[in-house]
Amino acid sequence: MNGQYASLLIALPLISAFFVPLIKELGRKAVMGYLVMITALQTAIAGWVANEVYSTGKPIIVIAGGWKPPVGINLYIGHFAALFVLIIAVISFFMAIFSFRAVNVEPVDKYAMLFLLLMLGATGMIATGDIFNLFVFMEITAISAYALTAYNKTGEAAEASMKYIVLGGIGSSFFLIGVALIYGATGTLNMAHLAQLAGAIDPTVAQVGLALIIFGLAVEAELFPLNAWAPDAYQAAPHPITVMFSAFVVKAGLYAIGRLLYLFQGAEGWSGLLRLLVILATLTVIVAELSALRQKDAKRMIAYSSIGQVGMIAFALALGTQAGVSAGVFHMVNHAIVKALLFLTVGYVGVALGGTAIENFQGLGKRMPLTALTITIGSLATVGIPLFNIFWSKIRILLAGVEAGYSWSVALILGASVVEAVYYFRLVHTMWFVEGGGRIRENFAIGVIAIFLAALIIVIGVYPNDVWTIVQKAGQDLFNVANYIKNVPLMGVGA
Amino acid sequence: MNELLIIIFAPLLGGVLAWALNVRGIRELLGVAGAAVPLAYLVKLYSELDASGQLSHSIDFAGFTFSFSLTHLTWVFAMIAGVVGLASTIAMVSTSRDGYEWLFALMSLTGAYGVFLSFDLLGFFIFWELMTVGSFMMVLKYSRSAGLKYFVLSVVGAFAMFLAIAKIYALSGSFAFPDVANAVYYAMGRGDLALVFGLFLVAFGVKAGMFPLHVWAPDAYSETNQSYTAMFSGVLSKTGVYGFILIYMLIGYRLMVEFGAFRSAPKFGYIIAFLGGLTIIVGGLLAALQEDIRKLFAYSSISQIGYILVAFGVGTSLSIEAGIYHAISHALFKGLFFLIVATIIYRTGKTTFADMGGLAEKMPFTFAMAFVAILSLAGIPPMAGFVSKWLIFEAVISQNLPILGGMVFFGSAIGFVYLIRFTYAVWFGQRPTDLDDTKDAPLPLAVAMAILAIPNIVFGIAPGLVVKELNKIFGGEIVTSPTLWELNLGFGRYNGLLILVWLIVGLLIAAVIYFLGAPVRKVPVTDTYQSGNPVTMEYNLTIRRNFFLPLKEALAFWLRISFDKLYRDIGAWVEDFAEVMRNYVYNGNVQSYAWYLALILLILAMWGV
Amino acid sequence: MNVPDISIYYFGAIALVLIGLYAALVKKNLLKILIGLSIMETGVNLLLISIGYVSGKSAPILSEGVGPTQAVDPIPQALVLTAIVIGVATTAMALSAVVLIYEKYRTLNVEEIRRLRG
Repeated sequence: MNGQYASLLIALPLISAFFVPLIKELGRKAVMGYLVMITALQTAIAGWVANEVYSTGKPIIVIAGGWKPPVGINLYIGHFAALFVLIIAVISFFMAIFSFRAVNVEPVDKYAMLFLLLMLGATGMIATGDIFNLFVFMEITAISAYALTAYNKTGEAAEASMKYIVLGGIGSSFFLIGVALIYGATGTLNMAHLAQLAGAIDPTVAQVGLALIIFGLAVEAELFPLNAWAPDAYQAAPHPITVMFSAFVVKAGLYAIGRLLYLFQGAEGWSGLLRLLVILATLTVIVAELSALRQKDAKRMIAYSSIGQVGMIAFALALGTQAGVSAGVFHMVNHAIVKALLFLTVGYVGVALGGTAIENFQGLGKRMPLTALTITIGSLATVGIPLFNIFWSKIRILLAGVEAGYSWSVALILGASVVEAVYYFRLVHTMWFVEGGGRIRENFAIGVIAIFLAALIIVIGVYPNDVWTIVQKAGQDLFNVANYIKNVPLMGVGA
Repeated sequence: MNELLIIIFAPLLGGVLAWALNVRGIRELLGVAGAAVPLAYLVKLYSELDASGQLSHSIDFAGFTFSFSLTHLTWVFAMIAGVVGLASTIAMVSTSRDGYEWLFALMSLTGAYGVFLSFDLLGFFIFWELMTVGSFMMVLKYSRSAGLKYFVLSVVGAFAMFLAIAKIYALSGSFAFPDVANAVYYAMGRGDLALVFGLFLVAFGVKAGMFPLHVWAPDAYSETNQSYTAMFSGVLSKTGVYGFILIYMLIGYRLMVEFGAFRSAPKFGYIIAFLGGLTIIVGGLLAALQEDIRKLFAYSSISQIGYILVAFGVGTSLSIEAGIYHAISHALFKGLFFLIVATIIYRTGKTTFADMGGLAEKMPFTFAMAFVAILSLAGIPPMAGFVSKWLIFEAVISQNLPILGGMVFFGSAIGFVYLIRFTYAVWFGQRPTDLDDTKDAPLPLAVAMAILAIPNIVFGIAPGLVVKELNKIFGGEIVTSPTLWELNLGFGRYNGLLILVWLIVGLLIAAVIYFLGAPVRKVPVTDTYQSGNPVTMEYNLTIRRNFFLPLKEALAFWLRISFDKLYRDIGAWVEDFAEVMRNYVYNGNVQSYAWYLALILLILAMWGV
Repeated sequence: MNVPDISIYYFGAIALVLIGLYAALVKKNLLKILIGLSIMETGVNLLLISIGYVSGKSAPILSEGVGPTQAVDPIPQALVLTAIVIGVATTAMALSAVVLIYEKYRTLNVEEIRRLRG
């Protein structure tokens, strides 16, 4: 098959989003069914693309409208993008199913549209090979995220959405300034082309431009102290959307940071920027874990924990070594699985028991054994217990950190991990060893998804070899910029 | 599949199956099988090991190479895990009621095997974590606060170890022990070396229960299934002990070269030994003041581990061999003690001295077992405990280290102090009426106790058995053993058989005198308690209640210094800090959040970017 | 033709961004903060345009007498068009959130809109 079909990854959700109003008349069930169908289709396409990329070992370059880069906009679906597009599609598919049960507020058709656009935006951010296109997709993601955060129409939802908008707005403005500066200095927006020219641009402009771009993205990637919107948005958003935020929206931001950071390796002040990012990432981990320590709401607690884990990924990406980047990508995959599981199950508890306050988890082991078991698995995995997937990526990140000379940072992250372990085990204790109410019937479909994700956690934990090979390739894709440039068929400009 | 991997993973497999099936009968069978299989393999591999000196196996996994190795040293430690683990799981047949306990108890056993057999730091760390989690889950079920205390300290220790490992890895690019030892010897700087040593000291100290990191142990040992505590104290604490040997193996030479010696002990070793000595004293004194049997033995376990640390710290071949010997006997008598406690709790449901008495008549078998354990712990020949303590004492004194010697001696004395209480208050004296129909130990517990009691006696009468094995570790005659019964250090000798014979002869003579008309007079109980001094009711100290109150009063000043409280305060401080911080940082005002963004922009500008 | 130096546009653009940022950082009224954000966006757009500006060239529309060599750089203008659309969408989104907030909280003062915190 022709690689150009990969453009369906962008086209399918976009077009299907616009068809939602037509289906609206058929009622809520139809809209949700449609959502499940489209995401399933997207999963199939993404699966095919991933298979194609990994079996041939070559990235798929989609060239829009026959205009060769750097004039035309291209998609670059390398090992990283292929993997993450698949993750996005799978998680979206699961969340479409979860939405059946979890989303009861009207208008569902708007929800479906925004849901698809959110998926589209994140996919686009990861797949695009053009920096302005990245901005556009980032804004698509952000705007659908703003809307979805406010979707529950409560005061809190509106408040969270407003915070997200204000901070996201400032961030994206500065991102755009950065893009403008870089464009002014190089005359190109194509990322491969930019990487080629990076060494040659005026150092001040490159420095300022890159710094502003990273600043803008860091808001999306939830780096402290730019992440203040995140816990609120996570808490207020509908449960499936929280899963999507944590599993791939933030990952798209992280990816963009990683990608642009390494594209501009040649720029002056690069290592200074890395060091700043390491500091911010370390702070992110510490502050987030401490904030989670005494939360009264499980969803917010896990949101903080998610931010902490994201900080760890950012730390890995900012190390500037191949080992760090690969470990970071590994952690991204694991974190996507684990946090999808946790937010799914905690959200389901919220739906079933009318709230996610910690008191609702008392005796959950007897009330909803399956849900409690999967939450426990997710918690143990997050804490980094051996035989669960996160353990492997976490030690790789920390080893890479010490190797890169950031022992102090690793020590602090380890300290924060102690705190993390404490609050997760409090949750586990509350679920299993505190008496609670009567038994509740558990939803079959959600149970199947939860078990699938939990099984994935354990399988990767017990046998990480294959996944490690895959993420290593993805990490190389991110780190090895020379290859990236080589793979994009630039139209003989500048080269 | 490789035999070493079977040894390591058989318990975990058994545990998972027991938990998943969770059918009464099958569950117990699977669990015990999980603990028995590794022991069988260890015994089977012995001849092979003896022929080749080392059995190794390595696998590539998750992008790392993991190597496992059975040497004479690791065989000894693995055997400790094997025997005590088996006894403990057999005892659990009586005391354990659900699959949860089987799963986690056996998981921790797998962890312990993994720790002993790993021949690279990463595998060591992973199994260490696994072991910690398993044991933590066992405690969490019984008590949240004890569990969390144990877990936090363990995790701090584990992370300290991880940091040290990462430091070493950054230097050597490998986890394998030989590479690590090489890299440390040739390339590690003084500062890093001290850091790594400190981190390892914390890591292994926590697990071994070294003062002042011991505070988790009394709670964790007592707040769990007591059958499991036999394994917890007998095997899991030995991983910490083994860790101290690793310090010698991996960074010992370099430490010696870099930091030199204090008197005749290496300086770094002296730190270990001194902390070990403090552990003996603190553990022993606190054990004497407990009112709960479980706590008493928990503290006593800590105290006894101190001996091992002292021995290791002295750093001669003799002292290390003595330490390993004591590790063996500690596992045997401490495991036995906790099984006895498990039996008592199982039959009476009581844990404090105040509720007990006169059980010797009702539980003769258990009492016999207790007798063995008491003699062994107190260091009375011909028990294993005597031999190891004697060796340690000789090793310390021969190196001319009087302070350490004093500490060891004091520990033995205080050992009598708390044992006398256990001996009398539980087994003799007046029996509370509600204990009148107490039965003796159920079969599984009886079998388990016997498994541990027999080697206690055998290794005391025939120390040559053990010493022959331990000499192989060092590849020389550290302690000569002319016959099975005899030990000869050159400056001291011990003959187990001879002592046994004399002991029997002495007992016979005593019996003859007793039966042939020593005058017998009935003494009212109050006479012995009061020693002729009338006491008031406010100061009524019986053996069952506040017996050592005078000691407590004498030590009042020192008892106020509590590391437990210090750690709790630190924990509370962190929580308060977290609370304040999150309310200030995430104060809910979007404008503050916008200021954070502006601040970062400012920093970016000032950073020069 | 007396075209002012290009840097004036740059300074103007940066000034607009800073004014917008000032409003967002200092004004307590939510609407004013949003206005600040809009001003900031305008500044960014102006910056983009001025980067593509070449003195003395005409608009990049192919017509009589205007070839590629006579026009300014067309790409920034395309970008700005996109950015404006995005800005409008964001503002609309923000305003609807503000409406909802006002309904629930009966205030637009940011210091009182802080139910989610900590």
